Amino acid sequence: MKIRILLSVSAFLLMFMLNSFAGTAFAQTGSLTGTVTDATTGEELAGATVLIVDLERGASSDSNGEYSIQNIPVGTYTVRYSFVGYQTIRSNVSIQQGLNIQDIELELDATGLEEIVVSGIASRTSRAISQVSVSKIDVETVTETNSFQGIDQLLAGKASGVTIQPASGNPGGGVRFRVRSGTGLGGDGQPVIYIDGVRVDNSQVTGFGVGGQGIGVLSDLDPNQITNIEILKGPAAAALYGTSGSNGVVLIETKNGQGIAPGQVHVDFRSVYGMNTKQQEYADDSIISYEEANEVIDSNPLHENTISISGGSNSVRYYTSLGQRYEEGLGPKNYLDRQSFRGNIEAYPNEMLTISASTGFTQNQIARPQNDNNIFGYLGNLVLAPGGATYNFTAREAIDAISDETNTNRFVGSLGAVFTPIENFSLSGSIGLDGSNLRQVQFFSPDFGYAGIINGERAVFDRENEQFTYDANATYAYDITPELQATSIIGTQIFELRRNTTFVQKNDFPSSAIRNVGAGAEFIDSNETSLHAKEAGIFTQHDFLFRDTYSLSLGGRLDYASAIGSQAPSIFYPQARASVRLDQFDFLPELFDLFKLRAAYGETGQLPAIFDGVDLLYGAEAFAVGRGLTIEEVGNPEIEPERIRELEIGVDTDFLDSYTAEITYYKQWAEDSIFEFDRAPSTGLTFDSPAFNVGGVEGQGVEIAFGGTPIRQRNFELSFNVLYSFQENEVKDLGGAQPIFDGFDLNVIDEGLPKSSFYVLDVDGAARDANGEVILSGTGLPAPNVSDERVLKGIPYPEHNGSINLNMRLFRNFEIYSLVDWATGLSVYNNTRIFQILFGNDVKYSEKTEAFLDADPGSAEYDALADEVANLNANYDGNFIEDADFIKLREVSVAYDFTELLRNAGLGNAVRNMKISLSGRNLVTWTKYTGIDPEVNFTGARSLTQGADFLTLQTPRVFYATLNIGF
Amino acid sequence: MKTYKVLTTVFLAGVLLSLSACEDYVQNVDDPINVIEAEAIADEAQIPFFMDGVVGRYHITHDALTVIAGGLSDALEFDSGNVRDATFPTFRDIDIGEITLDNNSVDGPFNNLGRARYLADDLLRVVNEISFEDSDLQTEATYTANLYGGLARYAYAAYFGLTEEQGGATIDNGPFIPSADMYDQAREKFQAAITSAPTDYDERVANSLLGRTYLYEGDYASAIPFLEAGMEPGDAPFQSQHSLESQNAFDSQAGASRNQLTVSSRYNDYIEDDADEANRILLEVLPEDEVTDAGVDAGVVIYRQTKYGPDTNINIMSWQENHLMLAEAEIEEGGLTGGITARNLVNEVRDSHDIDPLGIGETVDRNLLLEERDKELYLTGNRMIDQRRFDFFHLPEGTWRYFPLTQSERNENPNID
Repeated sequence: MKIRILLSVSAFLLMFMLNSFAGTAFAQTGSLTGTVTDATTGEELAGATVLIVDLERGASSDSNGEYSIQNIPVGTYTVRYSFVGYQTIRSNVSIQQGLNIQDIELELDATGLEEIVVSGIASRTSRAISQVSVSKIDVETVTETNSFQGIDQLLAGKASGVTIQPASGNPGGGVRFRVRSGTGLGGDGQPVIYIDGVRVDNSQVTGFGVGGQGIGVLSDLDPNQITNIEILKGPAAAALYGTSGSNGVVLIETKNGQGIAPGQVHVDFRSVYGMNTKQQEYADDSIISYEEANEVIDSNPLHENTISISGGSNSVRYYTSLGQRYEEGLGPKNYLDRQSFRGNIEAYPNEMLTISASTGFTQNQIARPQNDNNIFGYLGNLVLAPGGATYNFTAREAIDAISDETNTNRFVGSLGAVFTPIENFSLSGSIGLDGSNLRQVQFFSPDFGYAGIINGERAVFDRENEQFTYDANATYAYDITPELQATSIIGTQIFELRRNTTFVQKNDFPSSAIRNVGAGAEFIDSNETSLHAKEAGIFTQHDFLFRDTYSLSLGGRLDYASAIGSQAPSIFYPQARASVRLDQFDFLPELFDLFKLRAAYGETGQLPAIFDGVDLLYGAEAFAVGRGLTIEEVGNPEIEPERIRELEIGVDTDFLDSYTAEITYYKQWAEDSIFEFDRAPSTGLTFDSPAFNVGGVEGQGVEIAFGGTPIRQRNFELSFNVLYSFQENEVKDLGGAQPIFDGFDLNVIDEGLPKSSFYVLDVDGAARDANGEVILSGTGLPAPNVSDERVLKGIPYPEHNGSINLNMRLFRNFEIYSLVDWATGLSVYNNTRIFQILFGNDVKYSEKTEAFLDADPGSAEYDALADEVANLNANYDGNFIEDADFIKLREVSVAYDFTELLRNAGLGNAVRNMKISLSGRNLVTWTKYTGIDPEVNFTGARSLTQGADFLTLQTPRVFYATLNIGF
Repeated sequence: MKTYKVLTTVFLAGVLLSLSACEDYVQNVDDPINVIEAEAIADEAQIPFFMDGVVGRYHITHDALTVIAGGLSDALEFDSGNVRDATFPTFRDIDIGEITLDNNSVDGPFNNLGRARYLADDLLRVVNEISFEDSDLQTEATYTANLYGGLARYAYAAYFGLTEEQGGATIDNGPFIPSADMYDQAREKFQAAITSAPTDYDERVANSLLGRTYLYEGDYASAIPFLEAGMEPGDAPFQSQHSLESQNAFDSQAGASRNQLTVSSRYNDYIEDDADEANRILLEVLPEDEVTDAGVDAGVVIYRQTKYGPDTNINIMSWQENHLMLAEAEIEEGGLTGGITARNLVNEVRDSHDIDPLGIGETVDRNLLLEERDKELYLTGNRMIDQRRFDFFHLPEGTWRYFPLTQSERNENPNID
């Protein structure tokens, strides 16, 4: 027996050695080289990926478009040629011993037919099949010549159905997203945002106020780290994201070294220098104090530097970057200083396993100026200037001596793995964390006097936020018949949030130099809060594709959450979608590359907040008599989750190889809408606003996207993209509840009206007596003719909006990019104007009143002036709700690509690419709005009060130059 | 295939397990650190904490209400032409009696008054549900709940109204309750407080407060017995308490921190007439850097109160006010027990501030008494009520004599139009 074993082992070793020898001595190999060019222009494509699929070996083209793969065993292989924005080619290549040459021409994928878009929480599909409208923004391209402070600026005007309203011009300030008709009433109305699978904090943090504006924590994210953003715009698309997805889901993917050939290392450097300037000067015919206002609210610099290193091998891919952005807003005490680091890695230890890690760390320092509804504000003291006398409330030196700085350290990271034990079956899972520490310090110098403050004040606010996202799912793709393919997914998603805040506030400091809290002699206030909440969902999705023509997707999600005390609410959200490609039939002309009809239905919702279902929760409040009981939370035990249903139908077409068009109509229904509104003060339960299910809201809209590349030649290219959105909503049923007003009694939730409408008493000129003579008030000015009841005076968000994006490439390397966006059906409450008038600093009002007082009673001029003066009566808000439609030249850049020049100069091997651009943002605005900026809101980005301008800092006009250079 | 089946089975089992565990998982969260549920409050040990909440809530209502009451009366003035800090249109509107329903300087005290009323009534509910071991605590809690429940109703009756001249308010989303009926409710509460007063002093305070409700309705005969049982010389004033953590609103709205409202020059005239009046009328000339350029050019002199700093208490009731109420009852009705005269009562009040007694030639009549009240009750919220009940309001007809039930109340309460 032993001998047989010994012989067997010997024979095996012999055979192994012979085979090894044969392998090394006699294997025949060849190399594959060639050039990848643009099929239309003949331009060499640098960075195209060439992959021998069978061997999983590849290379990328160099700056001359040339590629080379060595030591390929002789044989026939499938080789895939791909490049971003081009149609992928698969080619069977026979490798002979020695040199094999294969040049390839790639066709532009002008319509994005091959583009892969998200189709569910754990699924992606090609645009040709997708049954829902998904907006995808190629951020890497957009950011090449444009610099953005945050993703809000980046997204503005680039996705149909998505409106982004900054609350002010503060760098790092809050931003309000409006996605589609925003039909739901629950929650904060904001989309859920994921970065590489991690659900991230999108709060606006106010801490100690500066008059109205908060910090938008999205400003912690450096747009230069992003490769693309996809937006699911409603329940039809986002049902499987479950609770809180009713306002859409924004999926952000950061860079990971994709598109770089194995073995190559790319080093990219980007530098931006520019300045923020005023979009609009304070005019001499507007306020008397215009000169001082223009002097203080003035231009300031910005700069940004980013270096990134990316590359990989056949088994690993990485991207790392270090960036810094410093930007001063308009006027003093107003800046953002952000350092951001990212390290992403994707590894393929074997063919069954992919492991990925995404890590981002940000240090963000933001200084907020005192503005808005604030007697310590620059604008308050510059604009509310009686007769033009500025600093009526607070001296300039005293305002300058106020500081407000917020420092944030934030980590957003995820670790994921995809395990494919057998073909077509995969298990994937990920763990993600968004953790941040935010610290705000506000200081009023003891060297100056401030109303309500005794010898200076220091206020410190700390916020810790941790949110974990856990995902796990299994996907199995199978053929039911040769013509019917199916994919089934089952998975779970868990979200856990912990948020703690503390603050302390003291007065009476010995000097402005000694400012630790302990040095303050007078304790004013201190407190802390904590929140711990969880959500868990289980979902399934089943996709079917028949003959590459008909597709059907069915799915659903069951969600649980910590809300409502001891009774965990669970809610099921279904989804169903279908599409059919008519271009696969003969009856359509061949000019259509894609003609797809699609329909989708889905439901999501908003859960109540964690304590909304508890009747009353008691806490402690500091009174002079001691710590006494108070009511912290007023809830409603009857509260139920809000459910939002959406039906979406649409047509996607690609035609003439160059154009793409999408039309989508959607209708949304919100039931059992959750809204927090005050109880009557007489109930005594106004400590907090309890949540109620108030009935229903309906919304609908149309989104159109039309784009194309009509001209594409070697030296000249023209492409465009036009977006249009119409959206409307109406509160259908408040369930018998009284209208719900914001704190300023302007915006209302009321039956028959759009959400947050301006619903006020209006003035129609001067009041007249029975003889038609103008009635004068006690001041000698015309009494206003006031409506008997409140009237709808507008809505604080656009009914129609859109954008036109135009790209031109001239002389091969000279590029011009422009984006114009517009909005109509938008109104803004110009409270600044009211106070200009009240403080005697409004030039036009003074002129009108003087002219009226000088006019002959009974004359036509007198009558006309009476109406004009009455329509400026500051006691009636309706006089100051203005049409704020606008057209804005949002972004412009001109760039020159020096890559070819450098290559011709023999520097192609040293410098991979180089581009210099000059750009601008918010360059020109055409609007009827008489205030400074129609896009701001003085109470920040989350308040019920919307579209109200009150001494709010305008968003800046930005000029900057950018250098991108790659090695 | 076998591997696939095993993996699928394991995965599905995991999902199914997670399905059953989801509900438990999401409920397994940390308890909040800053709130407790209602059951935890219904505990004798929590009652002192509850009482402080009721008392503290009313106190932070009283100061804000007293400020705007001064603004609507002729005691405080809004003078944006001459005072730099006078900027809030809400205070301007109050000063001229043209108060819009959404005036947020009225919203604040009105909302807090509702909260104070609710907490006081809720304290009484909880007290009645608990079996006390400490009977003194039960007595004190019952007194506190009734006294502050009465004060809240008194404030509704005295300061708020449905229309410009129709006083009253609403409770708990109910229909409008005219002032007369609201005073009745206040009296019921004060009477209950008298019954449960833990000390003689507390009983006297409740009697004074009850007597005042009759006085303000002009029912002197009913007022007298309670006023006679009310506060006595030597009694500490019954005050709303303030601290730097819970500051007196006068300081931030009509005082050293900010001068939205400044003091009528009439009060300086009192001092010019009798320097000793400065003992009870505390004011100063507004510093020049707080006067507008126009005001400086015109040479105006503006006064601001110095009676209250950020942590100064405000009298809700004092023996001096009780004396002046008795004096008024004597003047208007007569019949005080023991033949006490209005003159003696007034002089005793003046003497407490080291102010000389009234001259023999001075007739102690309604006008004199109202002037004494103006001086003694300087910035205590009574002037507006005196102007209204004796019909010498300084504002034209058609302006507000009360603070309007707020727009929020009108919006949310289905029982009022």
